[in-house]
Amino acid sequence: MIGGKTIDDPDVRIMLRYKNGDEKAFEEIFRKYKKPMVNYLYRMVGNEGRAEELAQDVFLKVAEGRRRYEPLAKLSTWLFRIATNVALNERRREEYRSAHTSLDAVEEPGHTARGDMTTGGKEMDEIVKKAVAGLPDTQRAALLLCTHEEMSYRDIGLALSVSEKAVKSLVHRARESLRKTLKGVL
Amino acid sequence: MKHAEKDLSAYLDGELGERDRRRIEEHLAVCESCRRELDALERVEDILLRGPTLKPSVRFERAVLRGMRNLEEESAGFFEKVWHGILSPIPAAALMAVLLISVGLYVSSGGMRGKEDYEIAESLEMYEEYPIIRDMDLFEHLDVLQVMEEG
Repeated sequence: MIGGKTIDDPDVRIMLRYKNGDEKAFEEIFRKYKKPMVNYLYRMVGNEGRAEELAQDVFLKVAEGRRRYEPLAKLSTWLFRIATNVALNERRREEYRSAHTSLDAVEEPGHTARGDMTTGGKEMDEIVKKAVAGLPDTQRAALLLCTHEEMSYRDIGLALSVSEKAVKSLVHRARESLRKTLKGVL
Repeated sequence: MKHAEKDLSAYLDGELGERDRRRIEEHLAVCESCRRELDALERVEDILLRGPTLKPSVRFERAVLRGMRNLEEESAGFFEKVWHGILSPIPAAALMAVLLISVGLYVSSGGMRGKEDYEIAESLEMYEEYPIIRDMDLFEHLDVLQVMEEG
């Protein structure tokens, strides 16, 4: 229910079946969301192995919380909200670890791809990955949810606990920033 | 008309209402600078979508499904214990007996002290002025107490 309206989302109905004890429903949700979830978390934290561990956390949080589940938004919104929280916590832990280990290990943020750079597939992927990693966390989350998950600004707002207007601004600033950072390779 | 940069992302995402969308399109028709900006944003979008996509590992899939089943088993185990263990007739009777004995012992030992008991304890000096408190050891003999009350 959002503002008294029933949510018309088939995935919510699957989640409600799981809430009522149908384990197969969890497997349906998992099959559908495992790939987008791992990829979203990979783009958020930049490490494949860690992305899978975090995605595991997300699905286990879903399993742990199934009895308390209330359909307040689309299921995807709820799942990516959990995933965003998990990813942001991981980023904070990472920052803490970096700050307390070697300063040499900290990568310089805001690096720019140069115009004369010849880029192959992998090299290009690496440049884009670093550019995305250089975005502030909420900008990155908003952009990824918009671009890769094709979520509406409204749903992104619900997932990130910000207004639709704020999402519009976050997505715009993220793209603007990438446009400048990736100027040489666009 | 002023430039439309701030709305171009929302335009690209199909997030503008009909009126705003038309306004942007009219502006784009006459503004080279905003067309270039829109083109650059579209290329950013393309480059992001062309990036690699991971395929979740089998190990990950197994770990999640095993984790979910473990949680279900733990949860089912707990409810099973409650319904079939503790609440089955014989252990339930034993449990009830233990509970009754414990409550009885607790009450008889004066365990359930109320607010008034604590107030008395905190101002014992004041109460010692009363004969009934001063002669507390006489309480053991009910007949003596009755005589005192009558007196």
